[in-house]
Amino acid sequence: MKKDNTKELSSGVKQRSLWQDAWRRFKKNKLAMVGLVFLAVLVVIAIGTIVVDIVTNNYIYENYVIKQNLRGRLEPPSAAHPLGLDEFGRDMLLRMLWAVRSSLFMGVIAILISGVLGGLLGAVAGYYGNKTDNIIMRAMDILLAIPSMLLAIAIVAAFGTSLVNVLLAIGISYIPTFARTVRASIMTVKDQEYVEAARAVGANDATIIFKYIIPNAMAPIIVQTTLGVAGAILSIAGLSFIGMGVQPPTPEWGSMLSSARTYIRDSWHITVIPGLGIMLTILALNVVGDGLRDALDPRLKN
Amino acid sequence: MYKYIIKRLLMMIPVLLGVTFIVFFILNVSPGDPAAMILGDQASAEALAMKREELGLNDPLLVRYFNYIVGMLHGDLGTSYKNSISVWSQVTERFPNTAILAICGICVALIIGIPTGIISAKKQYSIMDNCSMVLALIGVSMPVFWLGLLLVIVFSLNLGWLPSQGMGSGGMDLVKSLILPSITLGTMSAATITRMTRSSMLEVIRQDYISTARAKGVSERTVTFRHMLRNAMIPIVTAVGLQFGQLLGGAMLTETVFSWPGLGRLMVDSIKSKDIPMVLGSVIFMAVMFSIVNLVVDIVYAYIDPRIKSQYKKK
Amino acid sequence: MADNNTLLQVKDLVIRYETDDGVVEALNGVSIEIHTGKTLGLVGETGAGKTTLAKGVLRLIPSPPGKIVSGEVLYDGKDLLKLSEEEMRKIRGKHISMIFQDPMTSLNPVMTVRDQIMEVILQHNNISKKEAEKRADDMLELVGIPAERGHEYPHQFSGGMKQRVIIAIALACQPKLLIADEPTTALDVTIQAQVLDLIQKLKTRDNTSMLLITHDLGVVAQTCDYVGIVYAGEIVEYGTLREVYKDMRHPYTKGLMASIPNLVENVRRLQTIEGLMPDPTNLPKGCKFSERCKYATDKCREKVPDMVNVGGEHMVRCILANEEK
Repeated sequence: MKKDNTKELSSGVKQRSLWQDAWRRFKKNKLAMVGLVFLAVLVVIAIGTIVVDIVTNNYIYENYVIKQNLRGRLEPPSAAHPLGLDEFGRDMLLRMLWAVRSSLFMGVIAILISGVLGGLLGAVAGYYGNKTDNIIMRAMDILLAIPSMLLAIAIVAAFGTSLVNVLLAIGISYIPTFARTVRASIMTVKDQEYVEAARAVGANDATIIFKYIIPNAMAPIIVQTTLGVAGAILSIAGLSFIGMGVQPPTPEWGSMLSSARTYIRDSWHITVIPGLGIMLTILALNVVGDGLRDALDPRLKN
Repeated sequence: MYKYIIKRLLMMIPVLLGVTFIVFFILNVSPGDPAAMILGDQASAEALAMKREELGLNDPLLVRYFNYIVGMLHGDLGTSYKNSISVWSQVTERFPNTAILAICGICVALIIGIPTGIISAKKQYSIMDNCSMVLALIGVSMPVFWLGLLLVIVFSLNLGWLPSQGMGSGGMDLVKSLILPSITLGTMSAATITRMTRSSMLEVIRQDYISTARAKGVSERTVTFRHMLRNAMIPIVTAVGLQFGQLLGGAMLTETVFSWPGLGRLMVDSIKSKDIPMVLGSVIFMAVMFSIVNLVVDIVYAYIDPRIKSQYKKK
Repeated sequence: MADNNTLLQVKDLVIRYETDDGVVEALNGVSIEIHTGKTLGLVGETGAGKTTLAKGVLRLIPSPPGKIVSGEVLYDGKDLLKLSEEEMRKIRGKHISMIFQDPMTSLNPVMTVRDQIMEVILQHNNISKKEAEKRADDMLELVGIPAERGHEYPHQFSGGMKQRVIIAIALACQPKLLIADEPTTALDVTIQAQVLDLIQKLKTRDNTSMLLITHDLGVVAQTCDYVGIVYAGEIVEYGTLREVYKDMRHPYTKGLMASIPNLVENVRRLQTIEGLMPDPTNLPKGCKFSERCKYATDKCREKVPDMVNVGGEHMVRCILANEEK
């Protein structure tokens, strides 16, 4: 007797919708839940700092986050400044908090760009197949043959380091990943026997698309989005680190690390703290992404 | 087999043309007048026009692209705007340094990643498995450049064991200077390969042919290596190939952290000084390298997977 | 019960799987006996525990989650469950071989079929590679595959051919016992008969005993000497082929038989057994079949009935076994 058979039997008893079931499985994953809570906190911080800026008319931003104060340079963490002061005597804690929004929102927007464009291309390729598929996917292969960081750098190098360019650069470099994911899931779903069965009993195209193809293609797309945002945040931080992303004095973790590098001999906290910020964010996204994958597609769970 | 390799080589040509075209296009429609950059702000309009003509900037983009490719085939990638040095000579001079770093990085990744992945899968849910999975998760989440800086703080500044900057010339110095950058570059790939190896081993472990092998009475060692690993290698090889692309991107950051005189740093420096031919040359060179690595991966792939091999034997 | 002729005797074997969803009670005290040269057929629905029993004999239960809780597996008088892993490996492939259910997935896709046959030969015989290669080729010919095809890979063979290769692997070292787990289920009907004939032929040649697992009562009638009916991890009826087929006593066996289309009578609708197999993580306390049995009384639901001898070697696990006649 195989274990699977028994599972099939018992799962037949407890019928739930796909999403409820996924959420139930996700909740069981403690690590993923911690990651989710952490991300929620980041979102609150990002929105909170924006609200503060609006309410105080950028007073805190201008006077504490970016204003230099050379007297307290590189001061290590203390009661007054829990994370210490940076190379220009600015409070690290405030800068860390204000940096959340660049990373978070830029990462999300970049992935939205690639998700929409890549998703559309992949959907068209997967749905129409044949020639259309061939042309689109060959183009994606070409794009994929350029390491994403190189492509992003080329775009930023050509058009300058403006916010829009950085977003576009990262967004474009992730298009092929999404195109492939969406295409693959549409292709597999399209020819599934249960879709054919649905067709055979007279379901129309709309029913098939909304009831079978979209729900089944959603899982990998959601997972890919989460992991994509992680990758995009890393890329943005990397670009900022080599001076091609967010420019100082705007607080951003990558560019904070870049300027900290000069003072690496004098003071460790300004190097360690921003990196920790990036790492924890990426870690949370990865953990949530893994959790989502396991929850949405239990077959993949190891 | 030859047919397969030839087919792969032929398939590489359109990809390479596409890659070079995209990069060429991006870097040539950029705002700014190269002639003005070379001659400076004080140059007369006539001198600028002459320079533009000389650089072939008045030709249509496709013609310029064609000329560029022809030049590239003759080992000519143009000259730097900054110091009139041949781009080709600069790029080929720097490339070996990046290649050494990338190879050491991928070695670190393979040496750590594959054994850890195998052990993790064989002892699923053991303490060892849980620990290595947590470490791997941290590994894939750690920004390359931050890891580099941390290693510098610990091993160069505090312990003073290893150099923090530059590339040693020959012998022990070279080896010493390679250690930190290789670890920096290899860590994320090591983590990815660990995860990949584990999941692909777990996929294989449940297969029926593993039961068949066990039912033959062969040792667990043989089952692991001859039956599991050989099948699990197929997706792992693909992952390693893709990691190489990540590695080239990571090389830029690693080279920046350790002032490593490689292609990545050349690229970063050239971008800062808006030296477009140099940027173009190095990006294209790297993209070509990546394509060649992928070709090698495809060939290895066919070597491991008989389903591909036999497909080409019959024809 | 055991005599000189007994090759394998399984006593009260209990196997469980500990999963996230609870403990799966896969095998609840199964006892079987196989005589030299004879074939025992185990019949039951999917999920009844047949494969678990087969894998349990060879100690191939994946652990975790699987666990052999108690019982004995006596092969030639030795308890296999007490052997070291090292000693057990000498049994597998040489003394006891196994044919798995799905030929499509039971061969290693990256090894040539000859290498896969040679592997088991080299493992258990101290001979040169050259000799092993020759023996592997002989085995291929024996199962009806030209030896020239030995260098090919599994994906180049059809399902029936693959099953022949698997039979060649299983019989390459002339084992005393062959465990065949639904060897024909995944094959086309026309191929099924060929493969069964092949197994029968080779088995007779070497006087091999066989444990045949199937859900096809027709196959059992054709090939087996003894029959065991398995339900929810227990043997519910056991005896010689004749005893069980001519004089079935357990309501479940009767139900199984009734669900076979009969060529003689003109039946409009096949009989089915009402209900489903019980959830193995939550088995009923008494007779496992009581929930679906139309004769069930309160007594059935209280305690698992013992095996009752109803004459000859015929055993039935039902309190009504002797009353009904």
